[in-house]
Amino acid sequence: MMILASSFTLYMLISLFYLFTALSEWPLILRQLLSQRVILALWVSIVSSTIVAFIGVILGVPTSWMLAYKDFKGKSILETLIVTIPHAYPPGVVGTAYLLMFTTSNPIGNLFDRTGISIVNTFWAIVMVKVFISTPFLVSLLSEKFRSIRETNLEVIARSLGASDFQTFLTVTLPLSYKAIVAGTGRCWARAMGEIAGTIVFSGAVIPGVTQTMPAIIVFEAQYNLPIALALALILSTFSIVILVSFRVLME
Amino acid sequence: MTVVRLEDVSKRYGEVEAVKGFTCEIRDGEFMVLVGPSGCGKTTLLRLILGDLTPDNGHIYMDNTIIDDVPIEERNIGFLPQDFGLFPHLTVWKNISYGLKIRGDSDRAIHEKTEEMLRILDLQDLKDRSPRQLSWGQQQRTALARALVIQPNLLLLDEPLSAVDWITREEIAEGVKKLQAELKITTLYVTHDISEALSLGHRVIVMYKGRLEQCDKAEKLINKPKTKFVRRFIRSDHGKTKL
Repeated sequence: MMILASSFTLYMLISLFYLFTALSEWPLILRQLLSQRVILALWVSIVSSTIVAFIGVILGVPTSWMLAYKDFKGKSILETLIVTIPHAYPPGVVGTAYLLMFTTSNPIGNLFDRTGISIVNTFWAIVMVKVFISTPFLVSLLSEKFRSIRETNLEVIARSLGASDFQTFLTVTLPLSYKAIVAGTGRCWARAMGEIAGTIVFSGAVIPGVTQTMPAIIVFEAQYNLPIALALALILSTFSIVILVSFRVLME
Repeated sequence: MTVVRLEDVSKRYGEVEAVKGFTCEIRDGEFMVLVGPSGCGKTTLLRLILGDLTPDNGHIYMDNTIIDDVPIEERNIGFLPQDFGLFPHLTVWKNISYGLKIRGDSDRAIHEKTEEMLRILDLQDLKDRSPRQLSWGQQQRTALARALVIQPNLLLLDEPLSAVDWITREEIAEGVKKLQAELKITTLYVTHDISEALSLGHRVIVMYKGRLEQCDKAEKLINKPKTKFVRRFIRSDHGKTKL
């Protein structure tokens, strides 16, 4: 099963790359890569996803820790609300829900409207959608890891040897979960890079350098000019893979 | 000098009462064995003394001070769990010196005490190894060294021999007992194996269904069992134990 799945992924990647070498479309890719529109869109995608990954870590690590270590009433409801539902929600619906939340007839939208801060159709709209959709990827991975650490006796032993809660976290929990944090951050970032539907609905995704992301251009181009869409897809996947792999290597 | 006393201690998990009105005393320097069939509440009792759980009822005393609400890290208890719980990301040396480092001992003191423990437990050649590269017996010695190096008031051993072969088992048990006699640390040794209990303990507590059935010397348990369960439990030893 694993061989089947991994060979399928490989086959997909190879066919994507093969298409271009076979059709000698390299000039097209290069021209696209150097166009201002693509550079700006890549920039928006990478910067917004990186901000999302940072927010994801700041929100996700303490949340995962709480889900794994604290036993309180309504924990399963909370977990459903902050992990399962965002995980399973169609991204387009997330964008729509945000849009509704920020209309002036909604209390939150009203509040923002009165303070003069607008979110809809801005860069921060992208970030908000992506945080909602991507952070659960980190939390589900990390809370599982924390749970498996909790099941061992290691933290109790550290405390019996004199370590406070915080010292235990720093000397035992963190070193043992470090790889999961890195992997979860990578997943969170990758999911954010790929996000389309929610961001299109909530941010419009049309202003170059502000709301127009790479996946959004690919979707638009796919409807009119397939070769360009394919060239863009190749550029995006190359960038994503290179950044993800170098992040993992750097952190480990 | 440490005396541990439990007074009418109870602990329940929801509907299940794991420990019921438990009263006993572990004397200073004593090697006490707590024995009972699995599921009798031994582990809960151990975790209450360790401080991982708090009693619902009754009190736990250490040298006449109630320690019910004293956090684990302030109890100064050496703990050896069933799986030894060595920190997988630290070497043998760092595992053993962990407690000293966390307590803020000077580098020199850490070095001296750790090296001393390595010597006592014959681990010098293994000090740079990771726990993964150790045999079962070596892991156990490392965990024991780590628990002893902090000079604990009390040593808690949770079925440390349950996964060891019979032959090495007796050797290790003898080793543990000898070491305890040398260091004179008050020790509570938890096991489900009655033969092990009878041959190891100064005194033995027999526990069944959350209650203390009898707390006595081995020969008294054999010759004068106070309850039906103790008699039955002792009989399951089939006279294997020679006193």
